[in-house]
Amino acid sequence: MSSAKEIWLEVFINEKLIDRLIIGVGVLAIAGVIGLQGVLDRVTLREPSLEMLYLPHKNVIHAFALADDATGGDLLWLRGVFYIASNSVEEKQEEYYSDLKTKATPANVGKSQKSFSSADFRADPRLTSIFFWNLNSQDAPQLLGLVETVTDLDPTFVTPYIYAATSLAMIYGRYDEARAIIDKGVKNCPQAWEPLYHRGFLRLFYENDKAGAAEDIRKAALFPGVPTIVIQLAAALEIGAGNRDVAIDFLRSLREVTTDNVLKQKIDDMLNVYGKGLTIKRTVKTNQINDVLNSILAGDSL
Amino acid sequence: MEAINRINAVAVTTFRETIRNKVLLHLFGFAAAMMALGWVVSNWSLGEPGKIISDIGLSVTTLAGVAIALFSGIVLVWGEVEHRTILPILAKPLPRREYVIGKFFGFASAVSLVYAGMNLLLILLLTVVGEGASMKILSAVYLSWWEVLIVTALALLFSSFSSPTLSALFTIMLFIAGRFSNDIRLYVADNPLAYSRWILESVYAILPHFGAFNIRLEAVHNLPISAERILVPSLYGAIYCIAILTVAVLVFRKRDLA
Repeated sequence: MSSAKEIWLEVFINEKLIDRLIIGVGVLAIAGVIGLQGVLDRVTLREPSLEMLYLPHKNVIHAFALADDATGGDLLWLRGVFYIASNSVEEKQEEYYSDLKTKATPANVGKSQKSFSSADFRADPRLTSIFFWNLNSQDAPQLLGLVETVTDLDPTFVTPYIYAATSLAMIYGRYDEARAIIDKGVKNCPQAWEPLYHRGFLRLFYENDKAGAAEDIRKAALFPGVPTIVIQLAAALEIGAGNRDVAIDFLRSLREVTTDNVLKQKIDDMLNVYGKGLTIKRTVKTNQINDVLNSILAGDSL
Repeated sequence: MEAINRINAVAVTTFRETIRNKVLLHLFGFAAAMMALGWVVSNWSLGEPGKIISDIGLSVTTLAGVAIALFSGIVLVWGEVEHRTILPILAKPLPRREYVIGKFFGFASAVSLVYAGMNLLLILLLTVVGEGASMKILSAVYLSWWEVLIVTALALLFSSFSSPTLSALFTIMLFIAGRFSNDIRLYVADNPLAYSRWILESVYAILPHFGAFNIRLEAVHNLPISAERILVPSLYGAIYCIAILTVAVLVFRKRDLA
């Protein structure tokens, strides 16, 4: 004969009930995990700068990536992007283009930076995207270290060099660091024109080294598939540096090798202008970048 | 000719067995998910998204190929010995060496098929994002395949005399050490002590040089890759596989299966 206790256990503590209890506990646990998520995120959130204080050494990444350094470098770079910028803000580019006078100069360090107002620049994101950071950090003390590590892991990864160099110079006012990283980029990426182009840009704006800038941008312009504006810049800078003959020779040699008819026509137009000894400003009025260049070459303050 | 037929029979059976293993499907799914993730994160890189997709894709397909070779390979011979299914097989006029070689070819074919499938997915992804698959990317895939084959042979070797746990441990350790073989070479060059240099040189000589199969950086950045850079590692990979198989045959020949 069963006791009252046994009957009670049989009725209330049976297998079906236990199963239901387990399911119930499981559902509650999942709900708890989801419910706690918001609180957990708030409690454990670190400042991006604090995250980067513990930047792993390249040897550590080398070990964790099982010697697959390029992938390790990619992942570190992606982390770095969130350190210095929440996202690139292409959608805001129109707004930035509106004002020429507030573009990158040493005086504007720390301010929101603008780009040239030029349809030529706008046409190619490779030339403009570097100017559009949506900053979430006023300073980036770890930026150089981060990019040094990324580029030690993958020396031929072009993007970090140009973003770091332009950000360090234009946003944080650390030109020496910018120059060091872009020099490293030029040395390590002989297959890419972008580091040369950006070094030329930095030399022109921060060192007023027209001859050096002209040399870099001329070398960049010789790469196949380079945007036309780089070729125009190269020629304009050669003239600004007093190398009109070099500019004309350069354009002629480029015309010989190019198979692009549109580019040929543009070069012909430029040769026509330069050959007559005219300045760009008086002849190519539609090209706003040339206006800017002429201001630079004439020594006007921006 | 009869030997080839016997090896082929073992290989076909092993291929069918391996391809039915759900681990392959799971790892294929994992690799596909990782490639999709690479596609998503490539948009955050501020430039060269194709490089990010290729880097992550090539790494993932290689590691997934290695994982398939590892997790399926460690039970390849052990399973048949443990379940005694090997006894009726070896009771037939089938020399043990042919059994081991057949096992390798069948297993390697199955792993290669899945590896090819994963890389086909990567090429499709690269085509969708407008990068396409250059010959250099295909060369990188091809050389990484040798890495997968060596791990396949290693897993088979350890499976022929050891338990799955130990086989997994040995294979993983050799895989990791092999990945860092270039670092060992650098330590050898920098080491001033003659005896330790000799030890390191010996270790370096024996370890599989997985670094030799890695041309992913050159492929992704479209840097020049010489024919020699592809042919010599291929030859090395083939010879290394033959060496491992020879050891596996020798070990398995003497093994007491009773």
